[in-house]
Amino acid sequence: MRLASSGVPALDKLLADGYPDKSAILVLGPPGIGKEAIGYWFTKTGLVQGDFCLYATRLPVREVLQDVKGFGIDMDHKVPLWLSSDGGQIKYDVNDLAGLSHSIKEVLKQNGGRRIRIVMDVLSSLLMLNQSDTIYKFLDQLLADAKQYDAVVLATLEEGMHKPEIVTAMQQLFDGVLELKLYEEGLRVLPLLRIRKMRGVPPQPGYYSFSFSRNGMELSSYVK
Amino acid sequence: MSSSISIADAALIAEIAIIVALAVYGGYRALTIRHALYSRAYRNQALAAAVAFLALAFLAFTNLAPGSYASGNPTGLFYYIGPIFVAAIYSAFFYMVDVTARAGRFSDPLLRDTLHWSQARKVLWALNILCIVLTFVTGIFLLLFTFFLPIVSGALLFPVLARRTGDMTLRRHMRWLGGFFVLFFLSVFFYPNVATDAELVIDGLPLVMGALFLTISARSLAPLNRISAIEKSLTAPTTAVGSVPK
Repeated sequence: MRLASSGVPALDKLLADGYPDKSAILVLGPPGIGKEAIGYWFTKTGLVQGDFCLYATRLPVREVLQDVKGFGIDMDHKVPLWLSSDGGQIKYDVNDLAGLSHSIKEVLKQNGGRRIRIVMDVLSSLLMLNQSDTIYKFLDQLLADAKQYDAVVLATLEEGMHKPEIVTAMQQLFDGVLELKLYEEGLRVLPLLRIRKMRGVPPQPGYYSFSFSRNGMELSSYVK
Repeated sequence: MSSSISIADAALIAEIAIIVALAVYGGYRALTIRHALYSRAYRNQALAAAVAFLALAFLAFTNLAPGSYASGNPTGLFYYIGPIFVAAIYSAFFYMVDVTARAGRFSDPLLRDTLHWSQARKVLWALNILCIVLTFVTGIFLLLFTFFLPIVSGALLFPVLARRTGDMTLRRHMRWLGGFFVLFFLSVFFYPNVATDAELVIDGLPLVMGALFLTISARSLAPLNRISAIEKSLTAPTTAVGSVPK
C-alpha cells in the first residue's frame, strides 16, 4: 500500500509510515491547539515530493501564511493552490456548497495523473452555517469522489463548537481520526494526541504528548 | 501606636488575601493553558488573563489596603503610585477585552470584524494612552476614560461576539468575564462613597466575587479534559517517539 507522509516523522512512525492511500483523515481538537500545523506539514511535504496540493481555508491567505511562518515552516518557494475567501486562486464562499464541491472536483479532474493532497480547514464553519445533514451528505459525496483519484484528504474540526453527536457522525465518514486535546493533570495542562482510528493500523489506546517548536513537532508517549 | 488591629482591618486583610490567592491560582492557570496552546490569538488571550490577574492583585492592594484610601486622602506611597497603578490596572483589563475580541473573530464562521474592532481598537488604545499621559502631565484626572474603556467596550462587544461565535468555551469565558466587569464596576464606581474601613470591607465584597468570576473565566479559556482511570491503565506504551527537523 502506498502511503502519504504526514510531514511529521514522529507521526509517520506511529502510523506505520504515513496516512493510508486514498484516505480521508480528520484532525479533531479545540481552537488554538495546533490542528492546522498538522495540515501545514502535510501540505509542505506534498509540495516537496511534487504532489499536487489544495489548501481550502476560510481565512485570508496572508493570515494562513503568517501562521505557517509562526510554526517555522517555509512555504515561500512552493505554494499550494489556495481555495480561500481572500487571496486564493479559487474563491471560497461558505454559503455556496455546490460551488465548493464543483471547485474541488475540477481540481481532482485536472490533476488526475498525480498524487493529490487536499487540506480542508473549512469544515467547522460549514457545519455552523448549514444543516448538519446537508454537510454530512456533501462530505460523504466529496470524499467518495476524492477516492476515485490518487488523493488524500485531511480535514480539521473544532472541538467545542458542535454537538457531540455531530462530531461522532463526522468521525464515521473518515478513515482516520487524530484527536488533539488538552488534559488536566493536577495544576498542569497537557496537550495530548491520540489516534482514535486509522485504516490499516491496529487500534492504539495510547496518548502522546506533543509540542511544536520552530524546529518542528515533537511527540513522546504520555506516561503518568 | 496600637499594635492590635480592628475587626474591619482584619476583614480587609482577609479580602486581600482571598483576592491574591485567587489571582495567583488564576494567573498560573492561565499561563499553563497558554503554554499548551499554539495559536497566537488564543495564546494572547491566555496571557491577557494572566496580566488581568496581576492587575486584580494590585487593585486589591490599592483599593482595599487598610487606611490607604478610607479617609479619601491617600497617604504615603499610595499617594504617588496610586494613579500609576490605576492606569496600568484599567489598561490591563482593556487588553483582555481587546484580545478576547480578536479570538472571537477566529471562532466566528464568517470571520466578521465585530463593531469594526480591528480599526476601533487602534483609536481606543491611542485615546487611552493620551488620557494617561495627560493625567500625569497636566494633573487633570482623565483616568475615568481608562476606567470606563474596558467596561463599555466589553458591554458592547461581548453580547455580539457571544452570538456570533460557535465556540461554547469562548462563550462561557465571556459570560464569566462580563460578570467580572460588572462587579469590578460596582466595586470601583461606589468607591468614593467609602469613608471608613468598615465601609471598605463591604465595598471589597464585589471585588472578591469578581476575583472568583475572573478565576472561573480563566478556567474557561480552553476546554479541559481528564483521562479516565481505565484509559490511564491503557496508556503509557513505550518510549519517546522522536522529533522532527524543520
